[in-house]
Amino acid sequence: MSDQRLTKAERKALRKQEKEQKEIIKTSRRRFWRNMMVVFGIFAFALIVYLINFLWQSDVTAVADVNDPIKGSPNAKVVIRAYSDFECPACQQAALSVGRAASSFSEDEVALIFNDYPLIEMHPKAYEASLAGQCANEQGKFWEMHDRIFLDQDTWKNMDDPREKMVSYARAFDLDEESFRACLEEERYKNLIQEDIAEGLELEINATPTYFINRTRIVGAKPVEEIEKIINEALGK
Amino acid sequence: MSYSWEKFINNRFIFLACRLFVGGLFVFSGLVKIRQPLEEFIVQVEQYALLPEFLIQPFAFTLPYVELIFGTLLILGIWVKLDAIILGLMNLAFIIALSQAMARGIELNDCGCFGDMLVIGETAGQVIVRDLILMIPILYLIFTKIRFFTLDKYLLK
Repeated sequence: MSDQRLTKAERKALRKQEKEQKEIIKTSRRRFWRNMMVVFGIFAFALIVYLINFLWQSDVTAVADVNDPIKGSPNAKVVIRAYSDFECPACQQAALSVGRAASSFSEDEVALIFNDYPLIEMHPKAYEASLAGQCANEQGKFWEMHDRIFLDQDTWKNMDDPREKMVSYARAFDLDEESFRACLEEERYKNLIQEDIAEGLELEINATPTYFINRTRIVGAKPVEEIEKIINEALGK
Repeated sequence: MSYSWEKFINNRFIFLACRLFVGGLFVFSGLVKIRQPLEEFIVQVEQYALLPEFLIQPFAFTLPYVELIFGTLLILGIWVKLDAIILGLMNLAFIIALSQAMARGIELNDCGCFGDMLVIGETAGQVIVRDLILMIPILYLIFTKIRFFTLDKYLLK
C-alpha cells in the first residue's frame, strides 16, 4: 500500500510507530553495548586484581634465610621448607609423612629445612619446644630432637612446664645437659625463632603446617604418596 | 502502621544502604580470600567434605572472584537484580553447606567465610543465623523496583 493512499491520521500513526521502533532499536543497542562494556570491565577488573595479587606474593626462595636446621645438601635439586609448630597435631602428622617421603630420595635430590612457626596464642608450649629444637641443633642433634618432640607431643603439651621433659630428651640423646639447660633458660635462639616467624608472616602463612616444595605451597598434613608425587614432579621424573 | 512500613521499604536510602551493605560484605569477603594463599582456602573448602576432589581447586579459586565482582557491581548499581540473585544463591549455598556439615557432625575449625584473615570463631549454627539474616536485604534487593544512585541509569542514558 502506497504512502499516498493513507489518510493524514494514518500517516501520523505510522510515523509515530516508526519512531517508537527506532527508539526500541536504539535502546536495545544501548543496552547491548552497556552489557558488553560491563562484561569487558568485569574481565579487566578480575585480571587486574589477579595480577596485583600475583605480584604481591612473596617468593619463598627470596624470603627464607640460611640459618635453619637442614637435612640433606643445601644444593639439593628439591628443597622442602617446613613452617611448623611442635604443638600442633597436624604438624605432627605432616612431619611424619614429609620425613618419610624425603627419606626415599637421596640427600642430593631432596633437602628438608625446618622453620619454627609456633602459634603461641593457640599453643602456649610450642615456643619452649622450638627453643629445645634450636638448643639441640647447637649440639648437632636437631632432627633427633625434632622427631622426639613430635612423637611425644601428647605427653609434654599437657604439662604445666615442659622444660624438664625437654631436658630429659636431651639427656637421652647424650647432649651436654648443662649447656642445653642454659640455652633454654637464656632463650638463646629467641631471635632466630622470631626471624622464622617474621619470614612466615611475610609468606602470609596463616595455618600450620605449611610446606614449600621448592615454590609449591602445601598446607596441612598430606599423605606420603602425594608428597612423593610433588617431589618427583619437581625433580622432573 | 502498614503505611509507614511501605514508606520504609520504598525509601531510596534504604535501597542504597542495602546495596552498600551487601555489596561491601561480599567485596570484603572476596578480597580477603584472594589475598589468602589459595592452598589455605582449599583446606577450608575441604573441611566441608561436600565437593568432589576435582572441583575443590577451581571452586576455591573462582569463588572469591565471583564474590568480589558481583559485590562491586552491586555497589556500583549495575545489574542490581542479577547481582542480588547471584549473591543470594551463593548465600543459600553457604547455608546448605553449613547445615549439611552440622547434620553430618563435621567439626569446622572456622567457616572460612572471611578466609584465614578474619577468624571470628562462630559456631556453624551462629554462621547459619548470620547468613539467614543476610538474606533479608538480599531478598529486598531482588524484589524492589527502586533504582536510586545506580550506574545503570547513567549507562543507559
